[in-house]
Amino acid sequence: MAANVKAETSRLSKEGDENKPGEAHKQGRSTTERVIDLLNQAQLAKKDNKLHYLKQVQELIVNKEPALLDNFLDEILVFQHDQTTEVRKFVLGFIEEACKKDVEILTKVIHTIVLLLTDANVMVVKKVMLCLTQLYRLMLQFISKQKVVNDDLKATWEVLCMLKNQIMSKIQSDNDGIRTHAIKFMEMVILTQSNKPQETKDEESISLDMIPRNHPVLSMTQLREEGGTTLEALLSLVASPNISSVNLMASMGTLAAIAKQRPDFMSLVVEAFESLHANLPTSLSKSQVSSVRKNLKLHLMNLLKNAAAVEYYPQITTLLTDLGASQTEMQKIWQKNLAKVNLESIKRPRAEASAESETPTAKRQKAGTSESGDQMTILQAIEMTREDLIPRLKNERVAELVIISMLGLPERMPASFQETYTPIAAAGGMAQVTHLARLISAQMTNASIGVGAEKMEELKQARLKEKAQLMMIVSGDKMETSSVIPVIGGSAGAGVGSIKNVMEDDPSILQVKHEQIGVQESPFLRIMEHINKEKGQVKKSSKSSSSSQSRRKIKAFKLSEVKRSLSDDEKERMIVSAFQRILSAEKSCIQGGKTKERLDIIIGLVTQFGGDLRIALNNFIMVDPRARYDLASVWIYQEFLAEEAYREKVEQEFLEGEDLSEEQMLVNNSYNESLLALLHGFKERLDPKDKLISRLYLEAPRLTDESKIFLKEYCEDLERTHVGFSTLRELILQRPANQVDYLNLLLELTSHYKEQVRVQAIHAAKKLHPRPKLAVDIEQYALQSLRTLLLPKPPNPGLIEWTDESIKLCLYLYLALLPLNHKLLHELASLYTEALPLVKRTILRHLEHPVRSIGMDSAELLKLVETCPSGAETLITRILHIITEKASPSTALVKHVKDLYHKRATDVRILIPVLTGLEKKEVVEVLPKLIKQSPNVVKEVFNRLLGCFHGESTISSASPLTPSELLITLHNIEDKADMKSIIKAVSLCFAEKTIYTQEVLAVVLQQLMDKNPLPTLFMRTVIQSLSVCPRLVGFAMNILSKLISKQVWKQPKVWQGFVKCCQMTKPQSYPILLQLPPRQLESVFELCPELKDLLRTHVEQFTPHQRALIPRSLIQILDKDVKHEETTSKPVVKEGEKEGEKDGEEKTEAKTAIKLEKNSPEESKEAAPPVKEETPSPSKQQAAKRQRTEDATEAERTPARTLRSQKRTRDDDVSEKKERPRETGSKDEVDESEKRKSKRKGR
Amino acid sequence: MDLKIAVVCSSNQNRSMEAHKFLSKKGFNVKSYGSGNQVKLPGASPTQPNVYSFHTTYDEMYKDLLRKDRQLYTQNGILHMLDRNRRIKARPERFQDTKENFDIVITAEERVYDQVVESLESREPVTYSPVHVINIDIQDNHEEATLGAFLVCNLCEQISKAEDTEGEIDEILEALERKQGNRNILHTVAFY
Repeated sequence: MAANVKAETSRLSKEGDENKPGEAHKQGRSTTERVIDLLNQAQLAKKDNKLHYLKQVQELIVNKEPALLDNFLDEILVFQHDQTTEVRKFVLGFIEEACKKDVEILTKVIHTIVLLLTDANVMVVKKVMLCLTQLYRLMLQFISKQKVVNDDLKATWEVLCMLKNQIMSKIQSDNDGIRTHAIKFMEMVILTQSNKPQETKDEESISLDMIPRNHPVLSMTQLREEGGTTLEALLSLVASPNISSVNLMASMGTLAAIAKQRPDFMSLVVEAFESLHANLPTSLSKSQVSSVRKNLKLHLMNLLKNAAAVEYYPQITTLLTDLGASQTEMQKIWQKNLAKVNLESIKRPRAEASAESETPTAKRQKAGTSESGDQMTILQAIEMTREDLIPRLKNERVAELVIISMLGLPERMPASFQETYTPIAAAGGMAQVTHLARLISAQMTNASIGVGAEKMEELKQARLKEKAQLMMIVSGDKMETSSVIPVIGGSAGAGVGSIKNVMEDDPSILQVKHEQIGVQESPFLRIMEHINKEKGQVKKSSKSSSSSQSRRKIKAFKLSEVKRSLSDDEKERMIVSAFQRILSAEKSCIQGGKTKERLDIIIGLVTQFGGDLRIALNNFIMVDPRARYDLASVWIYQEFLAEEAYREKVEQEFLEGEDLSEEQMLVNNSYNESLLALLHGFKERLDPKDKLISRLYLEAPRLTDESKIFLKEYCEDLERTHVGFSTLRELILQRPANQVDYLNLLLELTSHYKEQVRVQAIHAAKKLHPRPKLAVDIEQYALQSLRTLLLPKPPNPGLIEWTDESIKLCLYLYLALLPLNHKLLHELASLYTEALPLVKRTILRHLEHPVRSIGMDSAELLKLVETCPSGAETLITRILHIITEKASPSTALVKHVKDLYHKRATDVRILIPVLTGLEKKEVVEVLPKLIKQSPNVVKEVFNRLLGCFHGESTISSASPLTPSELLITLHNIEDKADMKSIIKAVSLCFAEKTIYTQEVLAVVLQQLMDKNPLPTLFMRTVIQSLSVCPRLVGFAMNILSKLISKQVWKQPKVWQGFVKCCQMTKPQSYPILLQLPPRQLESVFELCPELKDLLRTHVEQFTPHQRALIPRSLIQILDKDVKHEETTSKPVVKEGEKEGEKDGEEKTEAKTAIKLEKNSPEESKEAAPPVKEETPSPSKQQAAKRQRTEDATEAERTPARTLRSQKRTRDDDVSEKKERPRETGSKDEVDESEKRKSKRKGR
Repeated sequence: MDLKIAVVCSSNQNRSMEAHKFLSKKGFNVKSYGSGNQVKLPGASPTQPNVYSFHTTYDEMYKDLLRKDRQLYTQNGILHMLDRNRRIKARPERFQDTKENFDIVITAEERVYDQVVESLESREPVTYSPVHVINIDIQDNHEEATLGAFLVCNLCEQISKAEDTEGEIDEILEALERKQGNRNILHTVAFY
C-alpha cells in the first residue's frame, strides 16, 4: 500500500517538476503563498487547468507540508460544489489522501462525503464509495485505538455507519458500476468486521481482532454479526438469477478473497460457488458465460492454494474438473498446499496448547462458534439430503424426473447451458449419481425442502431459543467472548499429538499421500499392489493412510474408515465374479454401442490382474473363438505392452544393481502364457482346417520360443499339417524378424520321419523357393542334408546303418528342389559318385519324378551330361531313361550323349535312351553290343526301337530302323555278335506279333534270301515265321524251291534247316523234295527217314503219266526196299482215283508245270517270288486275300495234323493229302503256268 | 473522463503495439504490454524463434535481426514492425511487472487474458478501484493485428463515449459480440 502511494506521489511530483519552468518566479515564496496562489488560479481556471492546480495544491499540503492541511482544508472543500465531475472527484481524492495522513480530519469532512454520496453524477458516487472503502477501515482502526472517544468522533462514527448502510443498500442500485463498488465495499466490511484466523502473519490488516474488548463505542459482537449479515446479503446476491456478469464476477472475486482471508467462511464460499456453477444466471450471453466460468475456475484454483481449502478438496476439484481444469494442474497446487499445511501443523501445537490453557473461554467459544456452526448446517443439510437422495435415484425415477422437467424447459437453449454442458462421462455410475444427488440436494436445501433442510430448520428454532438465553450470559462477560479466537478445524486439536508421532515415524508422509492420490486415480494399480506386495507392506500403507486421515478430516477418505478389509480369497473371488459379469455383458454392450469400452475394460483388468482372470477370459474367448478374436487380439497386445513396460522397468532395476525377485520373473512371462493359452484354446476348439490360428500367429506382436514349439507340434499333427504349414510359410514371408528361425523350423520338418509332414514341409519349402533370399537358405539346408548321405551311418542317433527310409529323409527336399533349380543336378551327381551303393540305388529310384519335371531341354541337364563326373554314368543313364520315357530325345541331348559315349567309351547302355535319336547307321553299329546285354536291357532296346510302332505309343518321331530292317540287320551282324544273343534278339522280334506280321516277315525273308551267302539263321527264321504265320507256307515253298536253285546244300547249317522246313511243311514240300537232285534227296532221307516213306506213297498215287515226269533216279531212290509197303497203300489209291477224274485237268497242268520247271530252272527263277508281285498289284491282293482266308481255315487244322501225322495210319494220311495239295498247290500252279504262258507270248 | 487503457498481447510486439499506435493516434491514454515470460519473434524456422528478455530495447532487437538476416526479416515485416515499435517506446514491457493502474485492459488472446486476470487477482487489494479486462481474440499476424487494432480502437471509443463506463460496458460488449460472432470475447472485472 505504502509503495503504491509513494509511486503516485512521485509521479505527481514529477508532474510538478515539469511545471516548474513556468512557475520559476514562485520558487522563492513560502509554500503557503504558493498554495494560495495555486488555489486562486484554480478558482479561475478552466476544467483541465483547475485540476492541474488543485493537484499541485494537494501535493504541497498533503505530502510536503501536512501542517498546512488543516489551514486549507475548507478552501479545497469549496470545490465540492464545482460543476465538473472531475473536480468533485478530485475533492474526494483529496479527502482520501488527507485522511490517510490524518484520520481525524474525517470528522471535519464527513458531511462533504455525505453530500457527495447523493451526487447526481454516478462517477462521483462511485468515487465516494471507493473513498469510503478506504476510510471506513481506517476510521474503525483509529477508533478502536482510542481509549476515550469524544463526541465528535462518536458522531463521525455514527455518520460513517449510516453511510456504510447506505452504500450497502446500493447493492440494489440500477447502476451496474455502483453495484460493483457496493460489492467491493461489502467485501471490505466483511473482512474488517470478522476475526482474523489466528495464524495469519500480517499484523497490518484491519480486523475485529484489534478492537479492545471493552470499547466504549464499538461492540465486537455487533460488528461481527453485521459482517455476517453482510456476507449473507452478498451470498444471496450471487445466488440471484438476475445478477449481471460484471457483478457476478466482482462478487466471486470478493467471495474468494473473503474465503482466503477468513477461512471460517470457506465452507460458505465453496458452497456458494457450487450452487453458482450449477445455476449460472440465464441472462448471461455466451461470452459472459465463458468469462464467468473462467473466473470461477481462476478463483477456485486460488482457493485450492489456500490451506483452509483442504477440507473442501473434493468439492473444489469436482467443480474444477467440470470447469475443465486438468488433474495434474490441480494436483500440483494441491501438493504444494499440503506441504504448507503440514509445516503449519507442526508449528501449531504450541499455539494450540496455549489456546487450550484458557479452557473456560475456549468452551464458551465453542458454544459461540455454533454461530458459524449454524452456517455449517447448510452444508450439512445438503449432505444429509444428498445421502437421503442417493438410494432414491433409481433409473426409472430419474427418467420420470427428466420427463417431468421437459415441460419446464425453455424454448431455446440458454447460453449458459450450452456453455457448461459437458457430456456425462460415466452416466449411471456411482460417482455420477452422488454428484447428481448433491446438485439436487443443493437446490432442495436452498428451497428449504428435504430432510436436511427440515433438520436445519429445527436446529435454527432450537438455537434461537438458546440464543435468547445466551444473550443474558454474554452480556455478563462480554470481554471474555470478544477475546475468543476461532479455531479452524476445531476438532483437529485432538489429533495433533498423534500426527506428530506419525510425522516422526514416517517422514515420507507426503509420499504416502501421493500414493493415495494415485490410488484414487487408478484403483487397479492399488489392488495390484495389494496382490503383488507382501501383506506386511499392505498393512503398513493402510495404517499410514488411516492415520493421515485422522489427522485431517477429508471426506473422500472417510470411505476407508467404514470399509472393512477383505481377505485375499474374498477379494480374489469378487474380482473374478465381477470380471465374469463384465464378460457376460457382451450383448448389452453391443446393443449400447460400447463394445470398445468393454473391450478396454476387460483387457485392462486382465493385463493387470492376470491369474484367474486370464483363465476366465481365455475360456470366454474359446466359447466362440472366431467372434471373439478381436478380444484375443487386443488382449495379447496389451499383455505385450505390459510386459515390455515391465521388462524395461526390471532391466532398469537390474542395471541399478537390484536383484530380480521370482515374482518379477513370473510376471515377465505373462505375455507368453496368454499367447500359449490362446493357441492351445484355438487348437482344441477350432476345426483342424480353421485358419484362425494362423491369423493369431501372424498378428501376434512377438512370437516366443514356446509358440514356435507349439507351431512345430501343430505341424506334426497329421490333421493340422496343412494349416500348420501354411501358417509357417506365411510367418516366414511376413515376419522378417523371425524369418530365419521359422525357416529353419520348416527345413527341419522337411526331413521329418512322418511322411505326410515331410511332404507338406517340402511343399512349403518349394513354394518359398522362388524368393531368392530364402532360396539360398533352403538350398543350403537341402545340400547339407544331402551331404549327410556321405556319412558312414545316419546322423540320427539309434540308427546303425542307412536304410531306404533314412536315405529318403535326407534326399527328398533336395530332389524336390531340383526342378526349381536345375543347377543342383551337378551337386547331386558329384555326391552320387561318392555315395554308398545303397544310397546310389535309392537315389536312382527316387530320381524319376524330379528329373521328369526338369525335362530334357534344361541347359543344366545337358551340361551335366556333357561334364558327367566319372562314376555318375549310371545316374546319367537313369536320368536319360527317365526323360526319354515319354518323349523322344532332342537332338541336343542326343548329341551330348553321343559325345559322352564316344569320349569316355563307356557303357553302351547310355545310348539306349537316345536310340531313337540316332541315325540308322549308328544304331546298326551299336546293335551287336546292345544285344549282348542282359535280356531286360535288350528288351528295352527293342522296345525303344520298335516302340514307335506300338499303337499306344506317344512318341512322334520315327525309329531310325523299321521293324523289317531291324530283323534283317540282326541277321547281318552274325559275324559281329555271338549267335546266341542274335537268336534271342530275333526271338524277341518274333514275340512282337503285332509288329512282325505276315507281310513284314515275308519282306524280311525275301530280302534275306537275296543275300549271298545266306545268313546262318535264315532257315531258322523261315521256320519260325512259318510257326508264327502258317499261311506263309506257300511263300515258304517258293523260297525252298529257290533255295534248291541256289544249291542250298552247300551250307550245311542252312541245309539242315531246309530239311527241317520240308519236314514241317509236308505234304506241301513233297513237290519241292522231288525237285532235288537225287543225291540231295538221299541226304534228306538220311536226315529225316520218315520223309522217304511219305514221299514214296505220294509218288505212288501219281498217275502213270505223272510218274513219268519224275526222274528215274528219284524213283529208284524212293523204291528202294519199300515194296512191302505198297500193299497197305492200295485202298488209298482207289480213293485217289475216284477223285482223280475231277482233278484230271489240273493234274496234267501241274505235271507240265513241274516239267517246265525242270526244263527251264532259270526262267522259274526269273519268274520271281509271287509275294513280290503280290504286294504291289491290287488285283492280286484280292487273290492273296482269298488265299489267306483259305489258309486260315486250313491253319486251324494243320498244327493238329502235323502233330498227329506220325501216329496216324497211312490211309488217313493219304486221303487227306489227296484233297489238299490239289487245291492249294493247283492254284499256285495255275498262276504260275499262266504267267509262264504270258511270258512266252511276250517273247 | 480520461480512461487509462492498457493493451496486452504475448510479446508486446505486434498486436499490442499496433493497437497502441492506433489508440495513441486517436488520443487515448494508452500503454501496451506483453504477458509472456520472454519476447519472442519469428525466426528462420518456426522451431527457432528469436527470444529476447523484456529488458532488450526494440532498437537492439532491430539491429540484431538486421545483422542476422536482413533479407528475411525485411521480407516478413519484422524489421518494419520493430522500426515502428521503437518509434513508439523504447522497449517492451511486461504487464505483470507494472505497478500502474488502468481502467481498461484489453488482451489479444485468451491465454494472455488468463495471465492478466491472474496477475490482477494475485495483487493485494489496495484501492478497490475496478479494472475491466476485456479479451478480443486477434491472430498474431500483421493483417489481423491491423484489423484488431481497429476493433480495439472502436471499442475504446465507445467505452470512453459512455457516460457511465461500467453501466454500459456490458451492452457495448454484447453489441460487439453480436457483430464479431466468431471472435472469442471475454470480459471480467478486477480490482486494484
